Amino acid sequence: MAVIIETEHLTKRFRRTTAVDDISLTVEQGQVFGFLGPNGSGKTTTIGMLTGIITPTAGRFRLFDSQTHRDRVAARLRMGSTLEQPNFYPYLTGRSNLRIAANVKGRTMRDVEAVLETVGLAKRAKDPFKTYSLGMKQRLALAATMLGDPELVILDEPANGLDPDGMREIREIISRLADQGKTIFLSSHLLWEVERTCTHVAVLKQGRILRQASVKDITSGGAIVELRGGPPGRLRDIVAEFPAARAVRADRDTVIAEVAQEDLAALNQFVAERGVWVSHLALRQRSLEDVFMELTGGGEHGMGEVPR
Amino acid sequence: MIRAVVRNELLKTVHRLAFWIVAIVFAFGTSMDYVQSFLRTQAGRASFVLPDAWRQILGSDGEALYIFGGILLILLVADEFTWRTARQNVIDGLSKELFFTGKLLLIPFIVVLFLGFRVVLGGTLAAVAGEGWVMGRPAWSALAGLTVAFAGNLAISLFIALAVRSGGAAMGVWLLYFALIENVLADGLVKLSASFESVVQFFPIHVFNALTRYIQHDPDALQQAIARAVEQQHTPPEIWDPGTLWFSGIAWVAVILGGAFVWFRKRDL
Repeated sequence: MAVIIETEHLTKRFRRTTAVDDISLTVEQGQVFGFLGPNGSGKTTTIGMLTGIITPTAGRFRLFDSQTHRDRVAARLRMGSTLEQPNFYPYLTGRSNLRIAANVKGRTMRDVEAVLETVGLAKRAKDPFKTYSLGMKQRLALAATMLGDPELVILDEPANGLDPDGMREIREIISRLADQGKTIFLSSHLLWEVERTCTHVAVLKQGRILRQASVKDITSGGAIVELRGGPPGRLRDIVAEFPAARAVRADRDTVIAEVAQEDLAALNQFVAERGVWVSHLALRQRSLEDVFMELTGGGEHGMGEVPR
Repeated sequence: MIRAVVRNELLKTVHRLAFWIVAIVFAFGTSMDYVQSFLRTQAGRASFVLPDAWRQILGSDGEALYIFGGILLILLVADEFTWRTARQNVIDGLSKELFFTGKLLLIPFIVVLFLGFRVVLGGTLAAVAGEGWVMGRPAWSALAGLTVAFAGNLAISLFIALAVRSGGAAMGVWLLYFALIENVLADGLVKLSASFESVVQFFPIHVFNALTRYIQHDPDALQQAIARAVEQQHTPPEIWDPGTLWFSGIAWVAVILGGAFVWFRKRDL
């Protein structure tokens, strides 16, 4: 497969802060690549460097095998991107805003009308951008991204601020693009969305890539057990003592643990012997969220390795 | 691609209400001035006729041009950063160099629009009031001088807009620069040592102002003014070697624009 994005030791420092630290990743043609990380982990800065609005401090990257600055500028015409919130001229209509992007990409008004139709904005295309709701703004950004039939689509938090319907629409559009064989680079907080949509992921924390693999590989491994019963803090402490447990976290009243072997009976007995009777005990497939929590330290849920 | 840049800048500009407000207020103010001169000439109370009227049209200080042109340029450039559309343009595939080119093209656009309006309206009214359209060498030279000075002032506005990246703040810095900073710096240097006077006279605004002095473009009038000053023991008008003046003016425009480009290219969007 052809390499579409390749970064080598890509680094960006803002004065004393290292936003992106020595990132090397490869995205191949046709992959739907999820770029995951907590807020401030360097996702947007990385995308900013790929899209040409941020200059790397060190390292290099290639888009479509581009070697020089001129090649990269030309390569950017083969990609469509959104970055953070949609940025358009507030006084121009949705159609005029897309016309600006179409002029840059060498596309016609027919292409503009086609993408307006695709994102469901044709009826509001003559209204000024400033009158749009957040969902409509996101859809206009997606329309600008799709203009020019790009081979590579980079989306930075495309579902931000959208209601469930809007999120579903975005997911459908991404699926359609993926079905067309486009390479998609998607940054998102919505792990279940990424798990459903992406073929590959990279997990980022504090500017560094912690893990990069296919979704299939990254979610394989130890089984995940969910337990409920008794005080969650007490239950968490008991499960953490279970010899086969590798990582334990509490999510509200549920304790989630990764076990080395699928021995539910032994775990049940272990907990019961310590005076807590579980009301719910279930084994489930390891999810991307579980992996993310393990790798990033769990964020607000307090996921972490069991201290031994 | 440059055609796309021109098309986009036109689209952004002509749909902008602020553009029409600034242009109409400028046009109204300029028209009032020239129509008043025209009517007074018709009434025999003034002599707004060509070629002497060029002194008023091209030689009077260009502050109205600078103020309206500067405000317009700052609004058209700085808001690209407020709205973050500069980054969107680059994300859409425009190189930073071409984005800058688009903003650069606003300078000749504004010069032609504003100065063109002033010259055509003023010249036409003065031609009607007198004996037709007469434009001698001094007038052409003064027109070129005002063009360079106007472009230079707009170059400073562009630099400030790209550096400050916010319409309101950029206008504040711009006003401070024109009203205060260069004068304070020049005064300070001269007070420090009189030898700095030769340096201070090459400061950009000073050079641009010298370029808009009509007498500088009319050698006969300049000689007469010098002779009159000597005779009356007054300070003679400032004399610039034409080559030095033109070179300094054009060089400042190039240096300021070059600096603006380097600054813009270096910074992240």
